[in-house]
Amino acid sequence: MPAGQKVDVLIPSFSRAINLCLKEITKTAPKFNDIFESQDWKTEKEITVSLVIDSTGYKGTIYFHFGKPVAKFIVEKMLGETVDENSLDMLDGIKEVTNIFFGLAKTKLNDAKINLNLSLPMAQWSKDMIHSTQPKKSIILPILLNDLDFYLEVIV
Amino acid sequence: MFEINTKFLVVDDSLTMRKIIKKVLEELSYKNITEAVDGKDAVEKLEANKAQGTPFDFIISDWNMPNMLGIDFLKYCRQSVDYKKIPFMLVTAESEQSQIIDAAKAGVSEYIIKPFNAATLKEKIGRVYTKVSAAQSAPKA
Repeated sequence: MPAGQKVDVLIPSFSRAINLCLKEITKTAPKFNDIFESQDWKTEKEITVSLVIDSTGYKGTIYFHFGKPVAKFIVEKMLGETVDENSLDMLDGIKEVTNIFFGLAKTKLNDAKINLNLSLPMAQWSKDMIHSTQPKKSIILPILLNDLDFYLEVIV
Repeated sequence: MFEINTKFLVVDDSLTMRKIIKKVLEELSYKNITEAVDGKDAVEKLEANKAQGTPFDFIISDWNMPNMLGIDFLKYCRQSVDYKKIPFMLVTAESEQSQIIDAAKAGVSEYIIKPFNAATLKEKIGRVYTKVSAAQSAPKA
């Protein structure tokens, strides 16, 4: 399957997973804005969680970019306690949320007979990310939760 | 429900998930909770507790972990004379039919899909208790 078609399947699967997961955890429905394509896009958000896709016929990376306010909102709802937005607990919490997105999306993808192998998610402060010098084309889905935005980025 | 002094082993590489599970167990008045960061760490803790004469009574383990997957940890327990009867609950974000079948074949006691709330975890623990009680009261062949 060509990369473009894979993205056409990946993004709706992840959107459904994000919707299901965040509604359960935060009792708030996320809003999905229009997808856009960008060359060498860089996030302004403070936290990035990455998942590496390594499957036959398709290799790539999925990123989630969260600002501290939205990450704090989600993690505190999940834990039921306050979390320091600069702590490793915050990174661990948002990594776990992304892990749930991935698990739910993977189930949907497998139902569609697309078997993607994804790595365990890795969460880090975006300022610590090492950026590739190679040009990259990204498909980006902006998401709004409780008036706070975050992004799903798929590198094709 | 299980006795208050039931010894739980909670296995998850995510500190957040361990905190969530621990909090629910504490709400149920269980205080004897040990945490392990992956399957390998869990095996070490199982062995250590057995050696001390304080074996675990209930295992709650994540599926997707580094070093040793939850399903492999479950298989390890079921193949061990010492641990094969410990109730074992698998926690996962994936609900594929094939995965559920694999877990059932390996001898999982219950399966809980993330994200879950406290009520669901409590209900699942209750279901394990019902199964364990039924197995204990069943006449031996």
